[in-house]
Amino acid sequence: MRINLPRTLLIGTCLTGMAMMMLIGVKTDARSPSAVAEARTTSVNEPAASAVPPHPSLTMNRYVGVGSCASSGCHGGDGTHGTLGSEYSIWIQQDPHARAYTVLYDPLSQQIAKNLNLDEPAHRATECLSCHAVVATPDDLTPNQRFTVADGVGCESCHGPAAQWLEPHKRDDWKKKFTPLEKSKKGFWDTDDLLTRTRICASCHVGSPGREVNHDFIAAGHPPLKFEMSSYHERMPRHWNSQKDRRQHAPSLMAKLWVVGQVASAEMGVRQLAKRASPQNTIWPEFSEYGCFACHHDLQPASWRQSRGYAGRRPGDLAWGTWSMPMLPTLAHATAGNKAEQLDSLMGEITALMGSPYTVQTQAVAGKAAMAADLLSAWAEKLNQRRFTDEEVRTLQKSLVSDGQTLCTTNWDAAVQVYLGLVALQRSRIESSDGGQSPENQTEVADQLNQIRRGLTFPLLKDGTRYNSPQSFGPDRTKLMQEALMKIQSIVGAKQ
Amino acid sequence: MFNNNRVVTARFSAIAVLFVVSIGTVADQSAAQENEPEFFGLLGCVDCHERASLLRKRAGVESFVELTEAFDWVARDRHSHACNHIDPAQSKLAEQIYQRLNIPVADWTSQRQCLSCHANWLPQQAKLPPNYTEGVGCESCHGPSSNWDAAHRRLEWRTTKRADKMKLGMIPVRHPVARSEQCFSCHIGNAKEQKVVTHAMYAAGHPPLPNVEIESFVRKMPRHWRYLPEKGDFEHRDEFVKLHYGSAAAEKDLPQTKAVVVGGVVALRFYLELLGSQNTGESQSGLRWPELAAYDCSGCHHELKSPSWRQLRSDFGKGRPRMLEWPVLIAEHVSLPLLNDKATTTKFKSHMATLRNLLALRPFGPPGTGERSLSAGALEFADWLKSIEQQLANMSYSQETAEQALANVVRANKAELWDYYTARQLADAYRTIRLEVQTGYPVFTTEDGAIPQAKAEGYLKQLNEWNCDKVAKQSQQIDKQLTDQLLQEPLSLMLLSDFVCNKEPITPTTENILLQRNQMLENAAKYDARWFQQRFGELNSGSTSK
Repeated sequence: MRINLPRTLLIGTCLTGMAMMMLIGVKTDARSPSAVAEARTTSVNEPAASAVPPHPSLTMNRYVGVGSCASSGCHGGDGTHGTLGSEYSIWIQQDPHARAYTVLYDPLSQQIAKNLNLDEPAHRATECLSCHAVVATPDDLTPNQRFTVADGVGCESCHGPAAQWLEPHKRDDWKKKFTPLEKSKKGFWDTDDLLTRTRICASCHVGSPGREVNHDFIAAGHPPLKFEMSSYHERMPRHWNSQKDRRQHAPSLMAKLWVVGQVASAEMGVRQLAKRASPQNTIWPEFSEYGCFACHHDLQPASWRQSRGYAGRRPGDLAWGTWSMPMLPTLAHATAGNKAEQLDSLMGEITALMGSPYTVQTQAVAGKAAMAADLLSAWAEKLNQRRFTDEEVRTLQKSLVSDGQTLCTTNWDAAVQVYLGLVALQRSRIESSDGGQSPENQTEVADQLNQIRRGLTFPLLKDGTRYNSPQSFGPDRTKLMQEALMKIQSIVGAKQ
Repeated sequence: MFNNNRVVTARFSAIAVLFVVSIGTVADQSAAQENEPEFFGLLGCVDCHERASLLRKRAGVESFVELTEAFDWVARDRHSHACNHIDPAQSKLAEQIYQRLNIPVADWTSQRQCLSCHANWLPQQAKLPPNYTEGVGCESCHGPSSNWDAAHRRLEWRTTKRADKMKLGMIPVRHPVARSEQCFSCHIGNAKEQKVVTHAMYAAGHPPLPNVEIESFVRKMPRHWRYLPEKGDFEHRDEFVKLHYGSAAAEKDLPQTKAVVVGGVVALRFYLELLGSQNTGESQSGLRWPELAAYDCSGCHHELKSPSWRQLRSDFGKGRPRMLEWPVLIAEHVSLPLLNDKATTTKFKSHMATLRNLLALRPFGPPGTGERSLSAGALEFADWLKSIEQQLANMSYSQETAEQALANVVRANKAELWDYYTARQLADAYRTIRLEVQTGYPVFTTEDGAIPQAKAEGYLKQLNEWNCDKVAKQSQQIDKQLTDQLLQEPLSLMLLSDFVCNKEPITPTTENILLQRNQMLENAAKYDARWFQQRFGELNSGSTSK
């Protein structure tokens, strides 16, 4: 039976709520949000057949649509970025999320739907709407609500279904009267919390139950998902007060976004792997679990891949988790404490199992992936409680600059993650109280990062177009990247 | 290097056999010979097959056989170097491959996966044959000779039935099916004989196996045989022809066209058998499932581009690994239509559809050996193809048939030629058949149908000229045309065009092979289906297929 996506997202959010509870030490009552969510999912799936009356929450957490937020007196003002009251306006004018639905009418979207043999065109298919609109089915709407899927990824996609909280939210005492937990019980998600924020983004941009871009989609034409929290966050037209954001997570918002983002994205990734590896799923091995460019490259005459070797893999084995996993060892070394080794060996086992579909036991993969997800989840929550001091950010930067010199030779994915991490950490350093490095050194670091970025860009073809793959990201280009990293290292210092 | 004692023993036993059973047929001998056939090695062959000697005149086999086969093979045939390429002392690449596969370099002589193709070490042999350094030798293709060495020296051998020869371990390579099987066993793969290049081996550096249009490959070999019409007259000719070429009418067959047509189907069968021999562990002889090397390389290995023609093609495969397309092309578009039988065509199409559906069902197709598994689908198809091969082998291949086949090749250009190897398969077949259609083939009969000895010698002379001058000239013309049309940027479709009668010894070093591999990979990466099809179309609109 199909699980509806906003509902499952709700489960995720409730889990986050639980995390928050643990965080602030609130005792979980018998009707914990996750229990509610579970009850809801079950009863929705078989409402008529079972005599069980619908759970109260069924009528609670429904969507009302962006129209309810857009009044000029509320969020539809015309201020600049981060001005209170202009959130909706910024979203509708600048945020690509507002066009998430209309893009489904594009020729490419139509062609994807055709290639996938979907029963309906893209703009009506649940597979697409689950991420490209606030709701996928009318069931999720508040009755009699005038609101359309055409809103794309709107306010409630990230802030939660508003039927229950719209009224109290309008009142003056909304901020003071309710704790984040109480708000989240009403369906209002605590996006101030960086872990919650990451998980909300990742529920589409990495995937979650019912929201999935698998290899079928990618082959049909959908772009592959390569999510990295800090850079995606930076790219988003800001409709919130970023000064407040920075203050709240001082002294290192960007660093924390990167760290929490890495761990939480990896968690969402392995959770999805656990689900994909279930015996019911016949699409196995699921190729989107692997590095795109490990297989997708023209066969090279004098193959640098063969001379480089396969980094612990057997030659010809598939390369799992090249995008979401490479930063974990560096981060674990710096932050994970006593679980680092356990996680490391677990990840190694999954990599080995996934590397060789000859011997893949889906059950073993599913079990290990679920274990890894739990470890990562606990780690992410631990990280989320912390503030990262300037000293810690400096140490992380040193580690990444050093580890990056090896990591960038493994593959393009890892090299990009190194680059994105360095950008986030350098941003964090500049925003810190000590202002990072001297102005000259800051310029030098920026120059080197730009250099790295150019090296990572997909090469231009003769006809002026580009491949969507790094083509020749071989020794020549990794050597340049290593040189740039060494120059940065000479400024920020080496790992100890 | 060679085991001399062994050869001497073989000689003695051969002589002994000659003495003991000097009367009686070879078939009787086969009953007496219950031993498993064994390999003797090159030394067993050189005495007779090295140089055209007095023996040849004395034996009266002048027009039947060259008797320089072993010399040709040693001096010029790349197969004799096969083992050198896997000897770490002689090939840097081999050393690297062992290292990358985590095989101790010193253990290379115990690697059946390498030696099965490179030195003829077959599963039934417990130990590595002592003459393994000979590489792919006489007996690799003609069969282990311990049981037939003596018998094949005798005149009766000509009138011995194919089946009886096979019982003794000889492989009847004159038959187009048997010949194709021998080549494809290594050049496509054969899981039963453990001749499979796995994905791990490719990733470690083994050059990719390209498409095989049998006759284009055979033409590249320094020829150590004569086609039937070149054999001139010899004793028991009629019976020999009937027994070994299918029918007396085979005399007039155009042998290369026949090889392309039959070989095309055998290639598909071999590929299907390879695909179907993947299993999940229940059988020892198969490949572990999934063996990535059994699928189309370029299906995964291509730079990504969006939008891309891959997403627009009519048989969009949902992001699943694809089957090799090149083995399908000739079978479907050239060979099958020659049978001109609707029921057969329908059956073929239904087998193809089943196979493609299975491959679209889930990545690599459904595993296992059950009813709805990929393996079952592929093997059933392969079994069915065996009867098609026989039908095609028994057909006669007149000038008309060859023209029909050529027209079929031209028509096949309208099929979807999505990858470089499929296009090359088309071009290879085109070149082979057109060469034969255009040059024709001399027919060696007098008014009464017999070929007198005196004239046969004249034919030999004529044949030498025909081979090396006429054909070469024609071939060059066709090549030039193909070159002008197809060898330009951005395609640089490499054709097997360099020699028909090239008597120059070649130096088949690993480096040379790698140069060819590099060229091929570059071409494969540059391949553009639409461009190719347009140019190929132009090539044929300008010239007649006749």
